[in-house]
Parts: sequence; C-alpha cells; structure tokens
Amino acid sequence: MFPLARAGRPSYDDWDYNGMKERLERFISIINKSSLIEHTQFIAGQSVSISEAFSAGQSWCCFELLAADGRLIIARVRLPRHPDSTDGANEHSELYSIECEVATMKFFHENVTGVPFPRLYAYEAPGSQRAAIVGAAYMLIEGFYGNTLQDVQFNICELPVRPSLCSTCISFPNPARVDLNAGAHYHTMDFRPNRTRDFHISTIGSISHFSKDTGAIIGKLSTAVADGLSSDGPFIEACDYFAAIADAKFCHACKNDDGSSLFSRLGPFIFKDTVQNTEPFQNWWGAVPL
Amino acid sequence: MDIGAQNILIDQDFDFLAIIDWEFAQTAPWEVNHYPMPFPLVFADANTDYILQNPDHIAHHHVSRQVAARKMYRQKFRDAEQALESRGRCLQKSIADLLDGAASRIYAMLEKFGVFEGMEEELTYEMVRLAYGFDREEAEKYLSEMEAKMKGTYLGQVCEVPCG
Repeated sequence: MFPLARAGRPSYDDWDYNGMKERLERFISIINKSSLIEHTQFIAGQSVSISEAFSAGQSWCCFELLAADGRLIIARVRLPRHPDSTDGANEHSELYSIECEVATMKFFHENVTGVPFPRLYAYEAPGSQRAAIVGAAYMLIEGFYGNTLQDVQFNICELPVRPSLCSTCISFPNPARVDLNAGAHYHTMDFRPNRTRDFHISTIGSISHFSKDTGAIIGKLSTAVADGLSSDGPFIEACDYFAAIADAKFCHACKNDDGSSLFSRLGPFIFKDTVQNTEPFQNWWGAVPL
Repeated sequence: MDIGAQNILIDQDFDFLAIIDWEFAQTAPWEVNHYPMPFPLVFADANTDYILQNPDHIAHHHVSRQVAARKMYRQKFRDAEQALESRGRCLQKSIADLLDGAASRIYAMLEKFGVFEGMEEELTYEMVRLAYGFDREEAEKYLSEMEAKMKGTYLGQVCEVPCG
C-alpha cells in the first residue's frame, strides 16, 4: 500500500534530513512489532508476517503486514511530534485530527460505496493499553497492492493517455473521482448502480464523531489549528468559513511581512471584505444548504 | 482537504485502488473546488488569450498545455455529472460549471497568497476584476480605499501582531 523502503530492508537514507533519521531510529527501536503482529492476527484470524521495511512521513510510520491468504494490512504507527515542528499544530490538535480521520473512515464504511478507501480495522488511541504495549498510538487499516499516483508518475501532465482520451496530450486516470471531498458535502461519485446515497451535511467542518446511532457529527475543522484559522468552526455560513481562511492568510502575511509587499496583506483583506460585505458576492458563494 | 496524487493509490493500469489519508478531510462550500496545480486558473484571461494567440511567446507551449488540461479536467466532471444525472441523481451544483466561475477562481487566487510569492499584486488586481468587473483605474481607486480601511480598522483585531 505504502511505498516501503526498497530492497526489503530498513533504510533511513531517505530520511536523513532535519533530524528525521535519528528520530526514526529511536522510534523503530522502541516499537513492539510482535504486539502489532498479535493484534493483526487477532483481527485477521490467521497468521501474519510484518515487513522489516517501513515508510515514514512527518507523522506516521507504516509497516506492511501480510496475512497467510495474501491480504495486506497496514500498521500505521504514530511518530512522536517532531521537536522542530514549525506548523501551528500542537499535540492536542494533532490528536483531534486523528480522531477526525477515524470518524471519517467509520462514516465511509457505513455509508460510502463509490469512493475506494481503506477499511479501518482498529485504532488504538494514545493511552490505550495496546498503544502502551506497542509504544505508540496506531491504526490497523486495509492495505492494497499498488502505489501512490505521485510515486508512479510525479508529473500528472505526463500520465499515459488512454485511447478514449486521445483528444489532447494530457490525461488523468478517472479524474471524476479525484475531488471527492472538496464539495459542500461528502458527495460521492458513485458509479455502482443500486447502491446510491447522497449525503447532505449542512455545516462546514470535519467529521469528529460517527456512530450508527448519531450519524456523522460535524465538529471543528481538523486543520484549523495547523492552518492558524481565527475560528475553528464548524461554520454554518460559507462566508464565515471564507473569512476565517482570509484572516489566516492575512495574519500570516503580517507575521512574515518584510515591508516589501503591501498586496500580500491587501489581497486577503479584500477577499474577506468582498465575501462579507458585497451583496452579489454573497449570492455567488451561496450558503451551504441546510 | 489533502487530496492529491500523493494520496491516491493506483494499480499498474492507473486505476484507483484507494484514497488514503483522511486526516484533513472536511466539508466545504462548493466554490472551493478549483483547477489544481499545475494548471491553476489564476491569471487574467486577457494574458492567457494573448499568449495563446502568439505561438512565438516563450510561454505559449506551457500555457497551451494548461488550457488543454483545464478543459479535460472540467470535461471529466461534466461526464461524471451527466452519468449521475442519467441515473436520476443530480449534484446541487455543477462542479464543471463553477470551475470557471468567479467565486471558484477568486478562492483559488486567495490560496496562492503566500505560495506564488511576488505575484500578490497581479493576483489582487485579478480578484478585484473578477469580483467587481473594475477596469484598471477603477480597481486602483478601490484598492487605495481598501488600503486605507485596512490600516484604519484592522490593527490588532485579528492578529496578535500589528498589521496595516
């Protein structure tokens, strides 16, 4: 599922920057992989083996677990916060983002058929017994035999052209499915007949909780703190959401202002003013339907 | 909203296997849908047209590809929307339609502040042109009024640091 280190052995070469290598080495040395295996075997109901190799980003380290029947399960293990993190996020906001991801995946599992996504088998939050034994919070999610589009072809303008799309030099694989979470709702482009549902979520925010009883609860934005938004949401009105984004851009420009660009502040200021105070503009944006 | 080539798993035929990393998923107004990098629609139409009409222009090839990419991007949304419609399901708004609309374009421009460094002035003028239909002179007048308003009313109201 995730691009693991080549040659099937741990490699820190790709992470030898900004203290990442040492951070990963320390992390890998404390992770209790046999507990990950045990938990995965319990879920899969069969024996599994864990990869030596791993992939790691800024927040997660992923191991592949291969079940006897060939199924892949990914252990997505949370890395400790980087001491030099420069974004606005903090431990609390990062935990909230993880909870939103878990809730979103649960919501999808119950409701969404048109968008392929990994199934969430388990989430062990910080402080849970299993997380304590493994040495970090983690998720067990469905793995896939594939790779990220970015790793296969970094430049999306160089993708192979399918015969049906030959009218131009640039092609996208099934692009209609690309922008699936950027609508006003979790509108899924459902291509499977007879399994069709739309979801009309009236507020702007992230899914912070899901259960079959409550449905999806929209809470504050999972990116609010990291993006430096003046208000976390959830937002009822689209213009309030846009204003919060404009404020963040404006403040960012003020903090980084070297006096050279009036427009780096004026642009976001005008955006906010226009969205909030101009009648035609409010009609253009439209409120999110309730 | 963290969707992109880094979060789309594909097989050897470039078919999608899964969309991963939902940490930053959210609901959002329709108008946040916009043409993505590397073919954003953030520059003045007049400039784009001028470059397209001049094959000798240094940016002609690049801009032509961007225009073709946007056309395909929009058409694929159109196709998907029509497929939904044929099954009796309609989106409340057409993404294909709004991609070329002022709201989506202006939002895309806002996103580029702090990213396209050095282009803030051009982006600002284009935002104003799209929002109000102002010509250059009217835009300058409006911008100077807004600059005064920014300096007069905004100090410390939003940010911890002085602005204006």
